[in-house]
Amino acid sequence: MNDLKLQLVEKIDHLKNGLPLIYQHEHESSKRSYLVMSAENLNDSTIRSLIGNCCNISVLVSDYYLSQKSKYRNLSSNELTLQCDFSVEGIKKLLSGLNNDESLEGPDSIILRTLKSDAILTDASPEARILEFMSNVVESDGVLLYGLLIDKEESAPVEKLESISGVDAKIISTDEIVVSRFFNPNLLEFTGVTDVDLQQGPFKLHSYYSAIDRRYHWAFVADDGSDKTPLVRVESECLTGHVFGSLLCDCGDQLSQGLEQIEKYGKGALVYLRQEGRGIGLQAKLQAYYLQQVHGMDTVDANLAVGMPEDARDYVIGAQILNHLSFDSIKLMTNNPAKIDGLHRYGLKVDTQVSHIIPPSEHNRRYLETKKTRMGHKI
Amino acid sequence: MSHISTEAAISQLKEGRMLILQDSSGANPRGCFVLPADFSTPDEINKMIVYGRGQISLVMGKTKYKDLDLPLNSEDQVSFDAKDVMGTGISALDRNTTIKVASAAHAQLDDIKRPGHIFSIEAEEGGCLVRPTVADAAFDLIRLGKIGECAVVCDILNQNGDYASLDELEKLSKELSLPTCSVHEIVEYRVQNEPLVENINIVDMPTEYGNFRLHVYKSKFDKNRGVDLALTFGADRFSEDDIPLVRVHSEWSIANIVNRLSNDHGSYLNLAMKTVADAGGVGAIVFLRNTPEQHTNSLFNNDKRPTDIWKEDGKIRTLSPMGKSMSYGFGAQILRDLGVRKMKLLANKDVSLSGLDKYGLEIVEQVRF
Repeated sequence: MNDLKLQLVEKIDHLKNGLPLIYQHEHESSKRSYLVMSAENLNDSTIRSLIGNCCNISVLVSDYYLSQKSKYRNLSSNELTLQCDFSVEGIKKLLSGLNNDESLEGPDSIILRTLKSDAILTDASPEARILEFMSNVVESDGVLLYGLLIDKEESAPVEKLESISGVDAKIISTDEIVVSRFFNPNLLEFTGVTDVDLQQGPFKLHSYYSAIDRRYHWAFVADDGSDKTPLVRVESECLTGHVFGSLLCDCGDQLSQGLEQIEKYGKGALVYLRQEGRGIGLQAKLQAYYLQQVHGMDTVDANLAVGMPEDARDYVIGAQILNHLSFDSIKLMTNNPAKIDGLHRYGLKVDTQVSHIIPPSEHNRRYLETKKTRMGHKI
Repeated sequence: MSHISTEAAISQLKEGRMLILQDSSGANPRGCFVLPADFSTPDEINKMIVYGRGQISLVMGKTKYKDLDLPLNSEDQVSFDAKDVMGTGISALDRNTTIKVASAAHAQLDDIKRPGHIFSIEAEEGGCLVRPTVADAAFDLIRLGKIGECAVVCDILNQNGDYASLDELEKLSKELSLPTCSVHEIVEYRVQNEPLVENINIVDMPTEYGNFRLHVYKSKFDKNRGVDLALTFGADRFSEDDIPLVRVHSEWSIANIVNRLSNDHGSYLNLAMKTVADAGGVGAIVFLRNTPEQHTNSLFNNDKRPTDIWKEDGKIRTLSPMGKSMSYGFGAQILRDLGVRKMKLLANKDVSLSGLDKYGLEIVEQVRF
């Protein structure tokens, strides 16, 4: 288990031990903190800390958790106020009441929040993030109890966590939730493999389906049976370069020479990620081309002008594919330091960086120059 | 009575005569009566009640929905009556009154009460091109004929209470002397007659096969469809006298890339590019994109899908592009937008592209490459 996973699992263990997590959700300029606990592993002191520090106390479930016979299964609203008793016993009763016909009663009001499981990845609410974290790390959607942390004296959301006392909570960040996707095996499906005979040699072509972007991604895999460190190239989709043979970029050559190197080396993979135009999409990429050709902008300025970051690529899917191939430590073929960091983040060890330089042509000289001077590529 | 073309159906409705619209696609064909609300009478409504037996609904556009304060963008139908119906609202007379009141040009929220006996259906903005239902096709007919703002539709059930079969619909059409027309013909009619694509950008595209111009097209209606592309050689747009070499290609997932890497001459797409450039005249290659990944998937419940890629007869196969016939229309529309009329088609298989003339396109020669 890598360090990152250990760190995340530690937090889930904290929940399982009946202790709370604090999740800070940043939305536009405001920051809100939520106290989160597992409804199935409660104790008196965590419930007291919830009641003592929070408002809008809710029980959070996915629609998948509610059984077919639950009367709350097909509610048109995702929020419903129920009655219960804020105690370990009371919450237990509430949970069993959700999935059978018992009527719910008690002196306290609690909100039942149901999230649609197939929308959790695209839902930007704090509830969706919290539920996703659980599902990613422990592959269970669980039932959570949570509330918005408020300063009782000022009756406003807590700004500084130091002001909360007597709560043994660990903090989870938005970043950790994003990273946690790496560990969810349900987000990447291996959908098939076939032999392909390329000019560069024979490869096994693997196909994957990612639930994160709902797209297929591929890997050209070479394996000579040796146990040397695999040579890896992570290539992002470039329709114009890879399919049309455009000379405006060096992607076509990067792809064919990457495959050639891997074949020559004998063991490794070229992972083909569907993030066209450094992740900004084909339409925006071609708009940026227009700005470069007609207004003389360079590739970085043109991307910024069409309202896109200069590089919107993320390597979580790439890291998951390498993980599926059981590549823990790799030789990475790249000139882009951001790619190394992008994979490092998920615990992959980049043993060696192999530079991947394509000599410039008349058409792409400026493009390559910009990559070097403005994007930190080592070419 | 007979089956009539979309054009004839529009004139039929313009004259205030009812027709039967059938949807024969899919496993469960169905039919409905269609009448422009402007021509609704208690007699016609009674005919729908007696012979149709289904629910009578009013199909309306967004503006009308807003005027009547009905819930927008909801699949749920809302029922309503005119405020001043004579009786309970259920009689043919009352239902006709409700239709008249709601479809009147200045109808507002105060003119109706909910619930009631006429049901609302919000027409999809792209009509039957985006959602090929009888209701949307009915509304398209009204919109194409500029016959008021609302269409009255009534599902046709048989004596057993099931949706009437195509045979039963034909019998009914004879019995009542009402013509039939079909949803898929209305879809086709619109694809042939309306501009569905928009050229949003043109850039230079020097490639190893020649210097092209790359055109970016967007669908006017289908927001989920990404951009489609066209490469032109020798000109951005073609004049009436040009006879360009043309090739229409579909994006085929990773196979486009594998094919390019497998041969020293590149993929067939690349070979077509080279053929066009080497011929030195004018040419166009349409590249239709598809999105085979529009599957729904859930974080917790991972349904198994068929594999995306496999090998058959020594060739790489992948999931086929979705909505092939729609793509065909898109391709033809892009060619028309580029000014193509007569063309030499690059194709190695014998092609039968019947129906291209409907788009104003003519193949004068097939060129093998």
